Amino acid sequence: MNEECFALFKKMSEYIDGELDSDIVLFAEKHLEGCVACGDNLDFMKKSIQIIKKSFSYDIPDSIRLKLRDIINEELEKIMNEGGKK
Amino acid sequence: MMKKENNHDSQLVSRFKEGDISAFNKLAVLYENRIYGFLVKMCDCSEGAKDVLQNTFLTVFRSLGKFRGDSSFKTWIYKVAATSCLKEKRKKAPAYELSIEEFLPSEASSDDKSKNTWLRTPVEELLNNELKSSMKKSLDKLPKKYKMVLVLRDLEGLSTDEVSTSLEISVASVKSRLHRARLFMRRELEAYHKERGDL
Repeated sequence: MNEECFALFKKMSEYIDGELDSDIVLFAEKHLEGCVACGDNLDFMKKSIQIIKKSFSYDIPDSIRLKLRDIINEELEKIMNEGGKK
Repeated sequence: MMKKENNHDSQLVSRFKEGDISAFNKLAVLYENRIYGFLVKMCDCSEGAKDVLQNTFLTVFRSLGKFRGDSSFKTWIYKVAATSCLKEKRKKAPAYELSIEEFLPSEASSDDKSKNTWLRTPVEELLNNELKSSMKKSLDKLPKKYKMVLVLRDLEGLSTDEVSTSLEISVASVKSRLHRARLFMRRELEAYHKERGDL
């Protein structure tokens, strides 16, 4: 890995997220045209991010949702009984 | 979409401040699933997440009258949840620094042509319960300060600026920690596939 490769490696996430300044994007794209290793590295990173994003999903169980509602309603009642809003 | 969401939240916050305390229930409905999901990822168990979830919503409810709107409600509630989570001492989380250099591709990795097969396979075909379980274990190994940024940015969908505001760290820190976190997870993914003989 040479200096240019390392420079791109450090900025890879920002490149993928579209958060780099245009001159750095130009540098990155010019480098990628000629560097297969960096191209593969980038593809691997993009793939990994997609998998990370799709690997986790949770739905709040009804029991926890109902308990939360009870707690909020208790707080609301306290305020109503105190006769004013917070 | 984000602007519409923020406007709707702002209206509910305004109504709450004007005396419609039931507006808080609507905010709770909008955010309970998201915050729960965030906390389960951070706490790695539903029991820990349940306690922090309740603390989060109680804190938000009790403080909402003083919320000035300097940030969006979404950013603020995630900030409260993140703060509560960082205080949670249920589980001892790993704490060490990640360096960019430790994730540099090795020569062997670069020469591995069979990786191309895995890279060409659509994500939907790769994702199975085994991989998801492995990803969850890997996430739990990630030091908390990196995990928090990865979860907020990549899993909860907050922008870099929103993560910066929620965690009260600089944008540069968000980007740096996110990159290291992604590299860590990528290395875990590579190890998973190598173990299965996919690479």
